[in-house]
Amino acid sequence: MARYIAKRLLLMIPVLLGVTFLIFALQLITPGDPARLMLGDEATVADIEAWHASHGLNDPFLIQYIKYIWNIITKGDFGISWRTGKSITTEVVSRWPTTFLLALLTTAISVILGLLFGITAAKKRGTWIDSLVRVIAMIGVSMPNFWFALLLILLFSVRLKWLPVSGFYGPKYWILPCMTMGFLGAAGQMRMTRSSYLDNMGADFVRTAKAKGQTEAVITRHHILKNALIPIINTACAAFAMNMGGSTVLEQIFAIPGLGTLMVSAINSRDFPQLRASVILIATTVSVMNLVADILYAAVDPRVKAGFKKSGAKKKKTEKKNTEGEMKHA
Amino acid sequence: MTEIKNENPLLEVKDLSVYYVSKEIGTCKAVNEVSFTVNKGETIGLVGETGAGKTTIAYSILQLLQTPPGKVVNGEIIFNGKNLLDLSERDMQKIRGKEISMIFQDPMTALNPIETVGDQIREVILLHNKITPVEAKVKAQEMMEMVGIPGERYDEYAHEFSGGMKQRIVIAMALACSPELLIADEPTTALDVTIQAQVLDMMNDLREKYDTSVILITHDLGVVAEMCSRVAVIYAGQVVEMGDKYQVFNNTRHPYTIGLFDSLPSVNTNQKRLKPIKGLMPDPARLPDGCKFAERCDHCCDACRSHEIPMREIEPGHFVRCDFAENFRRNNS
Amino acid sequence: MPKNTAAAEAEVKRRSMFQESMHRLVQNKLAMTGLFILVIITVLCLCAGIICPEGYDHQDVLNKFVGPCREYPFGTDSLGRSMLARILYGGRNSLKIGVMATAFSGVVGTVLGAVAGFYGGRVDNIIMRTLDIFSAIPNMLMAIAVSSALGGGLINCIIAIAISGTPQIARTVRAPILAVKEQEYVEAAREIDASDARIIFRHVLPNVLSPLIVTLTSQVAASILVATALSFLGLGIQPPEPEWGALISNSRQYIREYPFLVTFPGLAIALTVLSMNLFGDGLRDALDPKLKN
Repeated sequence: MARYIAKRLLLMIPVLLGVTFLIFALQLITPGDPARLMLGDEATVADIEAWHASHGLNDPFLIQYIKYIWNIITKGDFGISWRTGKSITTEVVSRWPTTFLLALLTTAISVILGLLFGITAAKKRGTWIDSLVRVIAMIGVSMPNFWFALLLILLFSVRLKWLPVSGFYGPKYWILPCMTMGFLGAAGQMRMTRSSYLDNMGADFVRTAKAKGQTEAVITRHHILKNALIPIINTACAAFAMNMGGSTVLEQIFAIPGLGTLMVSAINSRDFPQLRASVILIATTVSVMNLVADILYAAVDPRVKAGFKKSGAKKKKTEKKNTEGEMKHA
Repeated sequence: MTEIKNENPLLEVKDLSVYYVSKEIGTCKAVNEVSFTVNKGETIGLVGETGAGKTTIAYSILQLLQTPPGKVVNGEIIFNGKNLLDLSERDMQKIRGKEISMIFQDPMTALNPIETVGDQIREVILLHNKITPVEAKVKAQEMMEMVGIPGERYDEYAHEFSGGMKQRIVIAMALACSPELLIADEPTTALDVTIQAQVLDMMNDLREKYDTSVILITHDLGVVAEMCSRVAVIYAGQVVEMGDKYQVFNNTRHPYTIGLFDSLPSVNTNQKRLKPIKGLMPDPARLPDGCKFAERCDHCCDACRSHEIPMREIEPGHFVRCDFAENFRRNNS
Repeated sequence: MPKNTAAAEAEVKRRSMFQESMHRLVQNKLAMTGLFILVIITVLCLCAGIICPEGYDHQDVLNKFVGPCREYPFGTDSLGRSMLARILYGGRNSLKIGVMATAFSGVVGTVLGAVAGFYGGRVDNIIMRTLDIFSAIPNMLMAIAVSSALGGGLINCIIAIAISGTPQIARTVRAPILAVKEQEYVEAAREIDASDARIIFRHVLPNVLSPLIVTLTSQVAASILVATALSFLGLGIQPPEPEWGALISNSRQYIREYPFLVTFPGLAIALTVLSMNLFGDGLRDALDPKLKN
């Protein structure tokens, strides 16, 4: 297992380097000179040259990138803001936990709801309950999240006045954002859970367990559910990525001080380093969560580990034992 | 039909009919008035083509039918004096795995992929015996050794075993509680020929050791010859010929059974071509009246199609569902 | 000529399978409802000029914030512009982005996936590892990053969304190719020196088609959702051009007093995406009945 984790970690490094490079390279396709944008039309050529020099823009692109990455890795330094000229590291890092927690929480909500309704629908397959759950799920995956958020605000804040519209000062403020992404995410989770559960309900090993005299309750819990949960790890991970990526919209609506709002203000002020740092942080978080999901996957599904060891010694041993066993009896 | 009078048949299936009811296809008459008995310690073979209803019979005995669409519409299944069809689900659970157990056709999918094979054997032992998990583990390992798998492989998963080894695990699981009756549904069909022989040999040994009765479902007459003492030939959900292995093999009377034997390739005679039975088995949703085999029979006449053909005992213990059975005889070379 | 007969057989089989799929699709009530709604919405948006001849920018300054009434079925906004006109003209943009972005990522993704799957080895490795990097960034984030670098506008918005959608298409195309490549009839075609292009288009792509069509359908819906979100953030279509997401964003501040300004454009998005998803699901079931539960 330790080797598996180590290998996955090593595999993650090139991906992360690629991601940072990609995002760093976006400045190449940005039209216009950032110095001109920042300093305005009155700036002299000398001003602009000075600005370029102080922001390290005179180096060749690759050198700029390598310096940037080196500073992040060695010092955790994300560079300085084009707008203010101050370090952006503290700002970006201090906002990360909010976005991360929100994404984690909403993912958890959608997975739990998805499991509840998905399994119910699978068990009541073909009945009106099944149809109802599926229709709701279908509507759920079709709604734009920002609109759904506004509808919830309209209902719970404007009409019922139960919850605050926006801001982020206590538990009460978490409810609406979590509901928005939790509910919408649940739709996708539920569809996956339902089909995965149905697949396993009809599996041969379930029939085997029944032929052993196992009770329905244990078969459901022990054999069906455990197997059905495996693909849910993947969809949960995808939902987490979606929630991290979608944080921009959500935080913007509810005025949550996370990376998303930071990104929007960075976009509006054309502060590219700030945007870049936020995107890199979010992408890294998603990659790490993908890794966690992979490890979880390997932990619950022995077949994954076996696939990883394909060329390893273990498999050979197994084969040898197989033939031995076969021969022993012959 | 008249029954073989036996002192104490272990299992008696009487007039069993099972239908699959679905809106789109209509009613599928998968099993029609099937009767047979299994005596203590004997192996009976249920032979027939794919779709003849063999597996449905097996599932009905253990009540593993998916209901709906499957439904037992008629008959009794008497096991040790109790009609299994009258038992509650809870009582059935006590019988499954302990008194009657089953081996499935495809060992590749019959095992839970994310549980160690040892734990899967232990599961059935724990269910039916009042022992501690540790004792059950020891017993499970004993069972593994019994089917020729080292006990230290207890903690391995199904994907780490070959097909033949998986089937051994399934057999170990089925025999773990020394059941009185074992239903083996095409236990070797999914395996390589060389492995087939090993698994069959092992089943034979274990059957003798545990004094288990076996219902062996197969389409392979060779397997029947090796394993069984009695044979029931199933066609379109009916028993068409039943009797002692030697009676059915050497004194074959039903045109379908004759066709089955004739379609086997033979090394002895200088055969140019195989002789398949012409046509296909009738659609169980649209079974013909009268003899179900009439369409494919060279000897059928109007009388065959006009009435349900009864089972007749043409020699002691040998039953044939054909009015003209005496006229036919297989060329036994 | 094994190739010709195989191809002819494949042709016959494909056609009959296609017809069978279409039959199943037509039988599917939900899918047909989806298609019906989709056609209506598309036609309405295309006919925006006829339905609302005064255009999306005509300001009726005396009638600001008018609720739904006879003259303005969806009311008017803060400048007295008809919401109906803005939704219809906005729909043109939203649909255009959804379709164009999917077409773009469809073409690029198919080529990348086909090349990767067909040639395998190093080419496959380079393409797929690069796409891994692209897909490590969540779709929405990718679209935001690209469109903020490029700036707003229809074309940039399409490019941003197309880039974020490409890896999925490439994967969808690559997987069946990897599977099909080893099949005997493809081997046979290769034996008789059929050109790579011929093998790809004649033998391999037909097998890729059903998963590709299904993915493309769902991606149009997803693209529309991303497009509206981008415009909501102010990154997509720029004012005064209307767009569904932008309409919601502009009306947000009036949500307390005039909620209809937010509900109608949102309904338009939800209905469009829902009907696409319904149709896409039906299409998936029709093309691959095995998947249906």
